Amino acid sequence: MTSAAYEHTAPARRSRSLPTAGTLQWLVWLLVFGLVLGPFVPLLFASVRDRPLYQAGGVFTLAAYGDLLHDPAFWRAALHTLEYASLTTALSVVAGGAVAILVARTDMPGGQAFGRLTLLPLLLPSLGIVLGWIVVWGPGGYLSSQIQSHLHIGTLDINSIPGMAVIEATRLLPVAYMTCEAALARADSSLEDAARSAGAPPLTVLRRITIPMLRPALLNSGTLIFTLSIASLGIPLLLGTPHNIQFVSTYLYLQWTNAATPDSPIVSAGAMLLLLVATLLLLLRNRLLGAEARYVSVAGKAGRTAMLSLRVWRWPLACAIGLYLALSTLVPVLGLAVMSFVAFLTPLIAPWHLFTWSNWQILGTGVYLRSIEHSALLALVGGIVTTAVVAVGTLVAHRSKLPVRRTLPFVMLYPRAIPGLIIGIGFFWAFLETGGPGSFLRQSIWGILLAFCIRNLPFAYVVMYPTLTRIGEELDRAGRSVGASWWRTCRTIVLPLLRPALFASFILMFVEILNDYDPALFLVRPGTEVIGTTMLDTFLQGIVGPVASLAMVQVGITVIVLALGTFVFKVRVSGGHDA
Amino acid sequence: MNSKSRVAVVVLALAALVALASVVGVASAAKKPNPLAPLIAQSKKESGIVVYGNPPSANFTNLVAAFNKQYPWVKVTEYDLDDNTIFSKYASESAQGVRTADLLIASAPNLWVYSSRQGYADKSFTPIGLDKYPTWAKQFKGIFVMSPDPAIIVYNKLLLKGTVPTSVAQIAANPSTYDSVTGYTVDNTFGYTGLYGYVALNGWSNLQKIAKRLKPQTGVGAQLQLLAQGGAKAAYLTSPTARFTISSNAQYRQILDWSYVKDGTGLVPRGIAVTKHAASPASAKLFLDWIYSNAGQQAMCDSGFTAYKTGFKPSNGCTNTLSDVYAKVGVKKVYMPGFTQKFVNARPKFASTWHGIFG
Repeated sequence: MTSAAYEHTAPARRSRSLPTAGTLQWLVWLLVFGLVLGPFVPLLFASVRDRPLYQAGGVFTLAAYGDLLHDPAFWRAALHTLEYASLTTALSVVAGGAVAILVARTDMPGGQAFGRLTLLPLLLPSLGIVLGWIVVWGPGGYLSSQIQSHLHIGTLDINSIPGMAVIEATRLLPVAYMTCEAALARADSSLEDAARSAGAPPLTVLRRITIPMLRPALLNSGTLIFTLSIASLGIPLLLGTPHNIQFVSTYLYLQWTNAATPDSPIVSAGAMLLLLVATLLLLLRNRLLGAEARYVSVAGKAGRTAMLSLRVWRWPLACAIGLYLALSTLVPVLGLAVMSFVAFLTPLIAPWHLFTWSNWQILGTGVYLRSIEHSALLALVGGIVTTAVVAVGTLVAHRSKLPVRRTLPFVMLYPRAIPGLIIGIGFFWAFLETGGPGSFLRQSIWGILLAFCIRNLPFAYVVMYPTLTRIGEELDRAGRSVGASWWRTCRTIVLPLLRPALFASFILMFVEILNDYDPALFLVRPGTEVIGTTMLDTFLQGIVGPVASLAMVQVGITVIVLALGTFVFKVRVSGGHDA
Repeated sequence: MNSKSRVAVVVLALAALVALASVVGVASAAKKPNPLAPLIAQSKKESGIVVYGNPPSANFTNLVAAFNKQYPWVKVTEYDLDDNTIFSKYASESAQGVRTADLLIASAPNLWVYSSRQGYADKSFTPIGLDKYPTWAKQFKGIFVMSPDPAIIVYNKLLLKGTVPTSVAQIAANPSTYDSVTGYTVDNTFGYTGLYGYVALNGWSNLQKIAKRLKPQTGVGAQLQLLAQGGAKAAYLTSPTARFTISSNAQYRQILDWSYVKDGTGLVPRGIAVTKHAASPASAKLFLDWIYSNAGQQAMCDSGFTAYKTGFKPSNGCTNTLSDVYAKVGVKKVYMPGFTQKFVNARPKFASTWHGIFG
């Protein structure tokens, strides 16, 4: 798409500027390619050795794969994972698609506001929200025990696989919602109008036209949600493990941290298998969609959309969505907030009798303070660095003549489909195998930063790419025709026009890095904790109060940064998130 | 021998005597000062202790505060971890040659047996006052029992309205009163050790009666939360560190209380060792030594652990002592497992029986 355009631009000048531009482009390509795919090489190596790489000796063997595949616990975990991922996918795709149709195609009151609020779980700290669910809806949770004692009915057991799937589905529903909403916004509603004018009742229009039209979006988001849920670690670890329900992710994590012989090659072998599955799913998704259609373009609508009238169902449906948002997001966040101010949350004693500042005071000490400082620093530095690298990477991918540029979009989207724990284990071995620099990264917070940046880099790309496609290439050509080098054209013309996307990318990266945790679980060591790892460790020891206040710190910073982004930089999170 | 040489022999003998006397003098003078002096001097050059341990942070922080009264320059950082993770994390980090724990504390006899075989512990130091303790205080070279913790019952006194559970048999026999119970899963090593002691004394029958009423948890913190929330009425065979949580926190005191398990108390030996790859070995040894001093035993009692120095009486009426357990439960109803291979070998069968009952 971009290459042909440059064939005709000022050849004399370009020949002088190309070597530097070419070098820069190659460097960026190498950097992105090396950092995203590099860690998988030591991971593969670790999986075919008979002992951890740091131990002397060792021989090549496939025994780890054999041991893994002969372990009945692994297969049980795989079955649980399949059940969980299928349920999560079904729930979030159906519900996300329904909300998208209601928001984009009907006259439901408050549609736009509901649309924005539906996105919240994607941006709020996922670990914190899960803890909120546990505080409110868990066994002995505040609301679940109230409902049980007053109404004498049981609530959903969130420690079961369906219970965990519901929580995961509420977290991933926005992915389905965004994809479907973007597809509906792009699609012309004239087909639906035609059917209606031919006398088809609304439900028939929905069944025969709208839903079939959404099929690619549903398939796309479904595959992504399936991939994300097989990689999920927090929910299975906090809710499944106490009840002896293991998933592949928790099986690998516990093998890594709890086994008598740590860092076993079995874990690396399991991570390689998971990597293979995730890659196959990504390829399948690309095939389903066609290479270029996998992210949402921000193209204009084909025409004004006529809204389907819900009539008497307008308010009940709006209330249902409102109730869903309240129960799935607002109530857990409120639960966390209250929990952070009490010694414990119980229906037996009114919360004000249990009031305490101690959960907040403790944040000013030791590991808690260190974690907050680290996370804030990493989010800031990571946000800036990743935005800069991805901006140049996106330019190389779509505005250069580099022969290998077409590999970049895939590479920049790849980490989104890779479980965080694989990235964590991959970097763990990569740092160990790269001598001095690796050792520095392994023992400092910067190693964790690198893993976080790579893990979340797709967010920056999916924000930048649609904006870049809207910047006409004739502007570049104009710059080049008057003799500017590739880099100068990018720097003085394209990047300034890309500024809103750069801000949006920074905001998103900041939030995602602040709230990320699972790659760090494999890299963290005394003195390099981040909020997420401290929350998880503390919660696993059964201490809830300080975890709630840490989660509130995350929620607070996230909301403030997003609000700043929305109001000051006019950043709007929409579309493209579905990469 | 002529007179000259005779004089020379006498002079030499005198010189030798003087030299010997001065050596002996030096030696006896060296015994009098604090034998820990070299450790103290070295600890001042070290950068504090990292502890991978299973005691809840609140209990351990209280203990460290008392330790710091005597050794204010030793900064102690504790990571509250699962027993398995404590050893696994140490093994991984020490093999990689990065900063790791100086002290390990875990209620896991089976893992201590393993770590003694793997040589995780520094064997060069034994706490000075250890002869005032039962012989089992030292399990292996360099691996000691920090606290023989009795598995106890914690209960929600608001929900039980005056009924005090004092035995597992009582909980087992009253499903209507104790319709929801919590406790450790067998996968937690503290849980396994406490259950093992109880089953050794009483068999499985009472646990079978509880069966589906149990909401198992992996840690004592989660059990206390569940009890306080009203999600369970009692926690059986749980960690006595809860004694400190209840006594030090007025809000927990409104709702929770605890009692000994009178039909069979499994002691859970909480082991402690200075690690072989400690970055601050002298500071860690000072901490280890201090635990077994009178001040250390007082602080252990005050922090909800179990003081067990023979003849030691806490000065403030604190009752978290082994002698109190023996007095209230009776010696015959107390079971102390050692860090033995027998205990290790019993685990798989025990765990599968437990999972057969509780899921």
